[in-house]
Amino acid sequence: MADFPVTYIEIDLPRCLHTFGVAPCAATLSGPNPTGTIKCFNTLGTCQDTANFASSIVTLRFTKATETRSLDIAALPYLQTVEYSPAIIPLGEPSLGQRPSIEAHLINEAWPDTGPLGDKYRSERPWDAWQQGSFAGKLLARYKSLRGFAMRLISGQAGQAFEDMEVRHFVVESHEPPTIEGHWSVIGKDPLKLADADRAQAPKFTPGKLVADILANAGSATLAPTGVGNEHYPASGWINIGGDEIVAFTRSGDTLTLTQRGAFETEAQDHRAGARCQLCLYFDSVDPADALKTLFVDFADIPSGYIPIADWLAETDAYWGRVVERLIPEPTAVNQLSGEIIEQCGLAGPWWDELEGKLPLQVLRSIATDAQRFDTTVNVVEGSVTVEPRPERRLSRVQVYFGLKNPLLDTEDPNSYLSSVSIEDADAEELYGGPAIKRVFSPWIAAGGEATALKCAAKLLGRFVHPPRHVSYATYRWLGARPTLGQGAQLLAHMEDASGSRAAVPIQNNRVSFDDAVFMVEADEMSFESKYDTGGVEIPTVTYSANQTNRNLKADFENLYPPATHGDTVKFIINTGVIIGSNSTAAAAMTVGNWPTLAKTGNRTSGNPTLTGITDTTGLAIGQRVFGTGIPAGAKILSIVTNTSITLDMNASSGSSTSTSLTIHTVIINLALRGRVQGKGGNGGQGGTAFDTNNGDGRPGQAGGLALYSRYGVNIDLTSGGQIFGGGGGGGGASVWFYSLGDGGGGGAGSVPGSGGAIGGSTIGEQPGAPGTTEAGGVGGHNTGYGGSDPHGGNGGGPGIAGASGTTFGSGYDGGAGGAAGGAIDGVSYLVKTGTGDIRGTEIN
Amino acid sequence: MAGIIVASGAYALSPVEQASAKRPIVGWKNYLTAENVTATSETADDPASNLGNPSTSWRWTSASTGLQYLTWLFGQERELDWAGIARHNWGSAAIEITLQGLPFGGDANDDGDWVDLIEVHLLNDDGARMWRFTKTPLIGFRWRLDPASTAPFAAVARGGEVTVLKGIPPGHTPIKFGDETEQRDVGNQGGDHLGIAIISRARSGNIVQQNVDPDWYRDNLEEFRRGFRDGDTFFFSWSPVRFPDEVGYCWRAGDATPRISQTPGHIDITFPIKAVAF
Repeated sequence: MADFPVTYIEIDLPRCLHTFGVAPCAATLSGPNPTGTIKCFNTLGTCQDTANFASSIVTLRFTKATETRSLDIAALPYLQTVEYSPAIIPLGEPSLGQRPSIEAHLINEAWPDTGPLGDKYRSERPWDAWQQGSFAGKLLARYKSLRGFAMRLISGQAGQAFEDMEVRHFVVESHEPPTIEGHWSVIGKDPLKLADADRAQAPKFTPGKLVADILANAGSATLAPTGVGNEHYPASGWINIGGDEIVAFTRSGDTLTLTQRGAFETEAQDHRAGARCQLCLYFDSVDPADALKTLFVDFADIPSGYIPIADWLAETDAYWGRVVERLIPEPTAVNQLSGEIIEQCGLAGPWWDELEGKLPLQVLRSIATDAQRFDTTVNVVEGSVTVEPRPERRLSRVQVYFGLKNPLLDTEDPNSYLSSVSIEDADAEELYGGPAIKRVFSPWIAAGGEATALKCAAKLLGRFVHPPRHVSYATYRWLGARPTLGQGAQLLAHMEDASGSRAAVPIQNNRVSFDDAVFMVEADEMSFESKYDTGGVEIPTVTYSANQTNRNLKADFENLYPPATHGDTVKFIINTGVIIGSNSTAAAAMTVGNWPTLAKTGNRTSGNPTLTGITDTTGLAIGQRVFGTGIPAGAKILSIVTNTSITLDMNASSGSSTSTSLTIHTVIINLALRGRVQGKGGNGGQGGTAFDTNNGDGRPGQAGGLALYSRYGVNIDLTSGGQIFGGGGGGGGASVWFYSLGDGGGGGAGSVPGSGGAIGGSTIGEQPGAPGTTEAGGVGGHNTGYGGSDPHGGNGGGPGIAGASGTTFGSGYDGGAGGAAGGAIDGVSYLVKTGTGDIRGTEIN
Repeated sequence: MAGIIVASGAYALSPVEQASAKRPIVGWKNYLTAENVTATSETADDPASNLGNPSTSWRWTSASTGLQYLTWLFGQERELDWAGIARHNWGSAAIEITLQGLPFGGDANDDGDWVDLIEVHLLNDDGARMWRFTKTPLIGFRWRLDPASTAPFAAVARGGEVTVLKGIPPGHTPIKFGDETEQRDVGNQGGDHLGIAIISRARSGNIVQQNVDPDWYRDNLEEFRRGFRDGDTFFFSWSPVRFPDEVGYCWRAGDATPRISQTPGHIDITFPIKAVAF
């Protein structure tokens, strides 16, 4: 028995429910103000009272005029052919791929103006609808445009229930009007067409401008033209002024309060009246799936119903496990932005699944060995297999630039990025005869995202280290396995392995076309190199590979990953030679931040490591830090009896089955400190400034700043010589002496060293203090004009060392005191150190 | 339905006309138009006026499953001897059908004034159908339809004066069997058969008239040929008595050019046709 394919095209068109001139429709052909000369056709294009147009959807259905069609399914037999151009999925390339399209070629016929789209007032018209005009001519004149209406390609077999047929969903893109020969056509695309550069930008253009000049330190600005604020700007956000500066704002009417100037590492500067104020789009630590959805829904008007966001998030969580971070300062094509995310997050798709009417998304990964098999001896059409080598797609080195210095810089310029990583596969270069280099510029990976950048590089290298072949094959359409777009499969054809056996080649279908008899498939070989297939389950890691200041570990983590939750383990690496410093003695160079905790109650007994009576152990994991009365500092969970007890790696120091409130730090933080964390150096004190009791003393040096602050358990690995340095105190200024004013104290050592103290005034050779360095305090100023016997400024302290006091005249005038040493660690009891490293400065709690 | 004849065609011809009953007929003269039709019931989307246009795409659909009529009132006396329908469900819906006429002076609203042209019967399928009856002057014509449980529909209705052809030469393919099929068969590399897809199927054929009398041609066939040339549709039954359900609702598939046959002055002509037969 043969198969009898049937094809239908459906187009959903809106039609007004109301009757011309009957309330609420206010259209009229009479009176002093007629709305028209003939009644409407219940379409928006002919409506004479659009305010009261009440839309309901009417479906037009066309089919081919073949006797094998089902006459029970009402359809106009005007369909001649359907040209189907399938989607091409970009597998790991910076693109949304090629959009699928259909073009339904139809014949134009006379139309009695009946049917679901018929003329409601047909009997009143002074013409014979059958004799006048044509179906397409009248339809298109009444609708003006079909663009944006739902369009479906429905395929099945004669006799099959209509609801069981295969439905492919599209959106009408355009139509070709009827020719004199009686042909017309309707063209449908997928909804991702809406993301094209000619119709979708993110952020959207905002027209506001500065009314007047503002200075670099201005705290407010006014937008023009009047009313633009409420119309185009949110209550708060970020704007790009004149393409020169990013500014945070809050807004009331047209007035902006500028809450942060020179944001995102841009420079605060003066701006002239008329400077444009472009609203920015900020993705602040967002899952790439959520970022894509925002771009598509909010900026391309793709219906959110097409996006299975829960599936997307499950996919990115399982196989990517990173977030993206970016401020976009100018309107940028949505397809460009989404293409960047696709490449930089190792994604395949999203693509339009016409059958489901949804946009699936995958992370690139290996094809399962038990995936669907297509075999030329079983279900693949004779002569349909072709294999095309694509050596130009091979990669052996992938370099990823990340950590955009500021969002106004050119994202395609390597100089715009703080950091870069590279993965090279020397074996592949030897195997394939040389390097094949790809550079990826990633404005979506924040500074510190070395692990993310490496994963991006690994995804690309794993995908392309062996040049993927391009294959095509066909299967019978109406029986057997059905290939689908995006599907991973194994193809058995004439390709051989080293032994000469037929090889099962892993493929991913990236183009699936069809005709009435067969599916025609194009696919890329997907022999993902397993050593690069790291999945999404490795420990999320933040790497500091360049000097930075005032880092908060939790904030930095969440710039790259979803927030950590109970039971997670996270890792931070400070590379050798890197200094995490501070710009202020009042702020620690590195703050661990507030991470998740759980409160539990258990019973402790002195000399026993087991805490009993813990009835709920949900969220607890081995290695988590435990705090409470009688629990020694540094105690960790060694084992867990579910909902009963936990055993620590230390004995309780007190109690006898004593009920104890426990705080458990449920995220395990491992810090590999191979470089240095260093507080800011204190500034040197100024020398005495006048010969009186109020001003003759030298000024005190400034205290050095703290290096590391923690109130959360951290396992810190110092075995590679890690350093934690408090800032050196600034040296005190010297007092006045006879005819000379005081010399300045030396600056303390620090990541940002303390500046040398100023002289009290210039009379006879007074000397300022020298600034410190990262390694040593600066030398105090010393006026040598009197043979070296006069007072001099104190030397700045070295790392973790107090500054020296300035010396004194000894007759009522005192040298300034040296600044105190900055602490190395505040919260030492929260740290468990491995190795001694080099710690300079106090360690307190 | 006791007493109802299940018939694939029905004839009630006068003795004179019975002589030609076996010959092929073409129904092209038509008095059943969109302007003079009414239906007891019709849906808003599919009014009865659709029966008057030649398209099989647009149809009349009744909203009723009760006794009902499709009625044409001519406004003047017309002679009718045939009627036909295409693209209908009158067979599968088991509709009891009676063809009735309204003689001059009759009241269309008085059922007693309507006379049966063909008595009540059923159709055995939903194929295109022609009824032939004794030529009768009428001012109205109607189908009386009594459905079992399904509302009737039909796309084309015609009725008028039939043209009786001279006969069909050997080699004729009844349009019902005139398959024109596009197919594609698919196999794998191992020589296995994976399937065959019938892409499309339509009806086509020819109506051939050979060696016909030149006067008869000019009196009876030339007017039909001119309409054929211009795309008029028509019903065709090649063997009305023996194979009354082998009827096509036809239209031109090419030119029909009369040629002089071997008998001086006589005419050979072939009408290439496409058709809806089911």
